[in-house]
Amino acid sequence: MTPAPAAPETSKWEVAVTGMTCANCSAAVERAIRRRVPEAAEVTVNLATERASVAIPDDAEVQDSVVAAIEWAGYGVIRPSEDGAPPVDAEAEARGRERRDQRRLFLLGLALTGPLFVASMARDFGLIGAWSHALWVNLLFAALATPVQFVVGWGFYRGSWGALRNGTANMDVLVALGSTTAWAYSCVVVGQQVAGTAAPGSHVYFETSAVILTLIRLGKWLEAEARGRTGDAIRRLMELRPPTARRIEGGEEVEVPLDSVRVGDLLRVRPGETVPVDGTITDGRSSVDESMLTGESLPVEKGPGAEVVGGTLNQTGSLVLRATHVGRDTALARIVRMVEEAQGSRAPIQRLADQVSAIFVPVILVVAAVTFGVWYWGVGSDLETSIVRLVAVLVIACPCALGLATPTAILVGSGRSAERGILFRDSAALERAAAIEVAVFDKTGTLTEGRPAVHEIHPAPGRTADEVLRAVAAVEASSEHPLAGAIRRAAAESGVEVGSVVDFEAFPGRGVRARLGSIEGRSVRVGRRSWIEEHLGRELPAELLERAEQAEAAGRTTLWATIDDAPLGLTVVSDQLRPTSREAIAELHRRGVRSVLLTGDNERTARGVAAELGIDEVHAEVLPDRKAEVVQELRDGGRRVVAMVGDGINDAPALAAADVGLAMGTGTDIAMATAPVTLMRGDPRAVAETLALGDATLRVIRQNLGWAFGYNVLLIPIAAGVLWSFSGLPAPLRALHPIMAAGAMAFSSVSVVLNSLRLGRMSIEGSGRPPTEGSRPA
Amino acid sequence: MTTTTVRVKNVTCGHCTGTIEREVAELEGVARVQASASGEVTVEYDEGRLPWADVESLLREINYPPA
Repeated sequence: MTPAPAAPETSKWEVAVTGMTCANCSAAVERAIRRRVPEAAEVTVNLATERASVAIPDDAEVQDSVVAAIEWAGYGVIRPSEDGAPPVDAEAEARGRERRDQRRLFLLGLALTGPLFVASMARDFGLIGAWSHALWVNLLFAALATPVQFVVGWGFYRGSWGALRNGTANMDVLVALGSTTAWAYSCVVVGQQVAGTAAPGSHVYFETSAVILTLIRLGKWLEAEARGRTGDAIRRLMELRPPTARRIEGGEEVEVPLDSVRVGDLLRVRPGETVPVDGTITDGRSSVDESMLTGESLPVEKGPGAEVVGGTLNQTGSLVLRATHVGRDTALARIVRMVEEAQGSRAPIQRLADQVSAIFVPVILVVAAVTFGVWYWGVGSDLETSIVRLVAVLVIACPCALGLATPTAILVGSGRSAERGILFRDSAALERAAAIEVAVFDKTGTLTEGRPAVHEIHPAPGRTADEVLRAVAAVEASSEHPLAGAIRRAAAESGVEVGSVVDFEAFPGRGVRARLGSIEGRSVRVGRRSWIEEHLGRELPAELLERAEQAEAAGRTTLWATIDDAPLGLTVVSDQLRPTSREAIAELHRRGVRSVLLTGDNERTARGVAAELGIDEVHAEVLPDRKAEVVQELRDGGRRVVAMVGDGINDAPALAAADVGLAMGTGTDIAMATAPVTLMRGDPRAVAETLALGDATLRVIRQNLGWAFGYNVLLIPIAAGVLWSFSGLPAPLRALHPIMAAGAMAFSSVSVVLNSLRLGRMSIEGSGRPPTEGSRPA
Repeated sequence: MTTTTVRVKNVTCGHCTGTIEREVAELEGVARVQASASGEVTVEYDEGRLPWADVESLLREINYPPA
């Protein structure tokens, strides 16, 4: 299309968008730009890379209106830098800014609070002269403490206001209320001193409010640092994309930016280079290291026709590939989005923490008020002591760590599992994985390689093997069944001529029927024994039945064929068991999980496989549409937590029926899976790993909640002063000073974060491969 | 003024409720709109100026179809 002559030149403009958490967000941003900026063409918003890209006239006003549209939709914008370079990773930018902000505030607090604290303590303990009790010293203290209160502590006021406006009370309310009480009381005392009405020996608590705010700010800064580390898993995935690709244009190789690669482009990938986008190999052979995506350590041999995934490492040979998926459609971009969505989703256990917090804060406000009342009116203490107790209760109760307990564990847990080739769709799946009691396995492609091969052919009396193969191959040529591929390959290898067929009809789970086109009218059926016998109306040849039974007992699959209602022959197909299947089942048994085989194959074949692998229970000859029902029965009305492991496409209903559906896939098809859990590695041991990861994450969450909550419950009575009458106890225990309370609180937040980070280093039992940091491409 | 509440699909986070409120509020004739994280959208609108079908079609357009 040629633009109208009057139309201004448009060019691509890209900004980073912050705050998007799910696919709905990116859709909302895209829509806002389309609706509010009429000049914008080709709007795309990428959730994974956090970019909005628009084609607009090169005009600052239009750029401003794009920014305004995104901000109207409720999201933040980071503009590209002056030199027109694309913006840096918005996520990293936002995290970095938060870290810098928190650090700056903490250092400001430290600079003001340090001298204030030292001087105040020295004065209280009589280490410096009587001059320090002069009025000007208190005024200086007020001058140091006030900026801490309103600059370092401003975020707590803002947070409190936001919560109170929504009719809730959060931890910011406790911090703001506690520190303000100490500060305001001290201000009143200084005011009285200025006016000359202060009671003799009046004390100020400026250092208390300042230290509380500075310590909690320290906790927030450390938290921000830790969060930056938990996001590393995603960043490492994003960094797998090379910045440029080598495009073949008219016989020449041109290095172009990755963004300009389009579907259909021919790209050259040299040995040692990273595959830039998803594509199909058109020329060349090589071994490709896919470990960064699948966790599978052995390189995979690839030749013409094979699919390669962007982000994997081409090792030995030079390849030419045709791009099939670019930008946000690549497997890598989808994986990143999935991980991010899982990390952004709310775990059910988090809702519990939120509900508890919502009740906890008002309760604490009441407890603090009662504490004050009891000390002031009940015990008859002075106003000062009563206020100190009030402040200590408010500060110790702050459930900051409670808010961190779940999100940090989910963040680290899902990041860690992504490194192992296990993708969780949401955090609920991560939580449920811990509770799996029964693991149901599909056979083909899950426990077996999924690459069936024709093992042997037995013709019926009076027929030849070639005749059988020719007829069966012709009929199966139109079928999408996995076994059909085996037949087609066998026909191609043996060089038999395969004719065309007409009137093809498939009977799912039973077989297929067609008429051979070359020989007019000959009807061929290929399928399972019961279906064939039903149509034949008589027994199959005894000699073949015996062969079939032997093959089935060895775990092989049998396919029967008839031609014009006469037996034609028996084809035996074998699908190699995956080398790790046995170990995977054993590992599940060690964890107390019952294993079940669910397959459409016949009883004998299924039992053969189950015996070989040591599987507990077999459901054979289950048609695809019945698999979901069997899963439901195993769930026993929700009394047992059942996991279903299968390929994401054919077993989708069964995966959906299970409590936890695990789709096992390799290469680009992983992106199509919609199950709660996607195993990117063709290794059934990943099922036990999924369980181990879910288990470990949930355990860490529980520990965190214990840390955060138990600590509060334990220290609140002490802060309230119930131990006061036990004069034998050390002073800090008898009356927990607000400063000690603030320190303990910061410690509790930090210990929760550190506990979550442990998940990132945890070793996963039963996995063949330790994390190989060193083998990753730079 | 009429008040109608409808349950919509696809609400996954607080951003969604924000989007729904902003978009619906832009319709001519809407006095008040509130969306909840559980997927309920309550709209107070002038039936004479805005047929309810227009609200529903907007919700569908922004990918939060009424359930």
